[in-house]
Amino acid sequence: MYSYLGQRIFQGLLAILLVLSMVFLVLNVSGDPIRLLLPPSASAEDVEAMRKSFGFDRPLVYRYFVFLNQMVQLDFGNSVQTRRPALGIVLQRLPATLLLAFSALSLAALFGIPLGILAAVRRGSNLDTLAVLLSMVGQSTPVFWIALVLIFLFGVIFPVLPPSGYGTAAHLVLPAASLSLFLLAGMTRVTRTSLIEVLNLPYVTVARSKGVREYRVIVKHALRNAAIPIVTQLTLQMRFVIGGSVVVESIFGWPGLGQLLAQAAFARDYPVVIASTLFVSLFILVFNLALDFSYSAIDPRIRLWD
Amino acid sequence: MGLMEQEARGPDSPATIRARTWWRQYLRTIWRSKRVFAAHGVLFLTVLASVLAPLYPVDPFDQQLAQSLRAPTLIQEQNGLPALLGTDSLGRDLLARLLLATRISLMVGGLSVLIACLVGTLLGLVAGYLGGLVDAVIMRIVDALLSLPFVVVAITIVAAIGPGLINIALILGLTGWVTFAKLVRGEVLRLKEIDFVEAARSLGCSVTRIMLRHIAPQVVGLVLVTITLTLGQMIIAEATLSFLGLGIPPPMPTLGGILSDAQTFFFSAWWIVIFPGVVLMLIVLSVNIIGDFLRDYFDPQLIQ
Repeated sequence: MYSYLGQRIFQGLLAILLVLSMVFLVLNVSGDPIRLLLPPSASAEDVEAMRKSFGFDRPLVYRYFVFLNQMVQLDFGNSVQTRRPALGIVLQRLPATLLLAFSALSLAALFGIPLGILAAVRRGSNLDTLAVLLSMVGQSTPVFWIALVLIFLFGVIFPVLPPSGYGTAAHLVLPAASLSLFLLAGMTRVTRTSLIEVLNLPYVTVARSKGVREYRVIVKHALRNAAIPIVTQLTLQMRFVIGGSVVVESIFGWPGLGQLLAQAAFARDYPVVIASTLFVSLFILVFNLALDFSYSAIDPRIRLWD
Repeated sequence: MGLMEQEARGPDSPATIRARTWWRQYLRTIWRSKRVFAAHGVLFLTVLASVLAPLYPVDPFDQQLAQSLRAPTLIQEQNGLPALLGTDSLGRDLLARLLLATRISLMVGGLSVLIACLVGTLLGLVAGYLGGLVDAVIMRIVDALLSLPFVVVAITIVAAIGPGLINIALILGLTGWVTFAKLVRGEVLRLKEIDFVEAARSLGCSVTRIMLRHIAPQVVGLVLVTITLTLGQMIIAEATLSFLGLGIPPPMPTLGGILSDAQTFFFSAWWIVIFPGVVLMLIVLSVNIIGDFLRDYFDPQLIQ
């Protein structure tokens, strides 16, 4: 088990290293952000002094190793905008994003899984058609537009919820709802497909002909076998949650990592960009690892290690 | 070119007849489902509208500050057409801007899918067929990119090379190829165990020939399905980047950019919020429906 865990962590870290190297390469090949920071009237000496203080005057390979060394030590340097350490800025933003991500994911699971189950059980009914339609529309609508429409509905037409800000539970509702609609669509779709497949298996027919009550057939017999694709869907969705949180946080003024990343990218503040990317990747890595281990808890036939 | 080959392309040659029958069959199949037919219709109209966009007689860049934030109307102004979908905060005609924005959305989406498809299919073929170290290296990169949010990777690179139409298409293409590579590789792993590949190998075909002439044609269906399903994602990604101000810079209209401006005028101008979003949703929805349909069409075993 430990060797499996080690192997997975190694793979994950390798993935992060690859992405960071790519980012480093792109950032360094395409010029430096010094010009953006200084007013156009800055003299050549000023530019040179600034460049030196950020280390842009060294050769590329040298900078790459310095960069890797810094990554390992979680030393990302100072934000180009605020001159404060990027690590601190990012860590400060992390809780808000975690809160939003898990709220959205829970909302999606709470509504998407039951909807998917109902749709699968009453296949062909109006409810099923509605669920299929919802999941198709939900997966084709950009998160930022859902957010805008929700603000329009509940912030402007029926002003019951605060359209932006952070702090109270009421502030969480709209961002989490906008983020979860896309997830809910995927969750409904996967639950429905997976359960329909399982309900067609002979063992379900056996259970029914034994006289087991229908809700027990579904909840106890079928659902357990249909659960693996649903968990996999959760794994895949964490990427979308984080991707979507960039937009949702920007729209709602939610002080999380996503908003930070968008702002930093806009200002080309790359210590902050790299630090946020690293933390986002680490978070997804840990989350997916945890879900992987839940596979064998759900289905004892699955053994991830020998 | 030999006589034989010239003959093979005539109006009644077997190849032409085969293609014609294929299209006829295809059109007959899309008739069967209202949803699939509607999706084809919407996509066709969208493409048509974006091709014909320059013919619409209102200039999408023309600012008429006196006409700013006009609601949709049928009443004709003294200078030309009525603002059918209203105007934005600078008095620019929303319909004209949406037409041009749709054109740009489809262009960027199409270009990035093309790049993703070429790079990904090629690397997937190579990784799957050659295996070994090449496969390991390519698949590590694929797994790395697949484990991260697409938008985050794209934003990180935009931070480095800056926004712009070509940059965005390149970034989306060069981060989106992984889906193609992963799927094509899987299919190649299956195909290369089948006898016809063994036969080609024993006849002395070179590796390149086997890959391009024998295996590549077998993955065309899979690639077409992936192209369609990726196109929707690319269009959403471009809109998202433009919405964040990291995509295609103004004054060029983009669906994301128009929506981003709309945020400021929420309380007074619903039409700027609603119409671009509806257009975006309709395009992506119809592309996704067509993608799902193609998946079943190319692989009849999957239909249940």
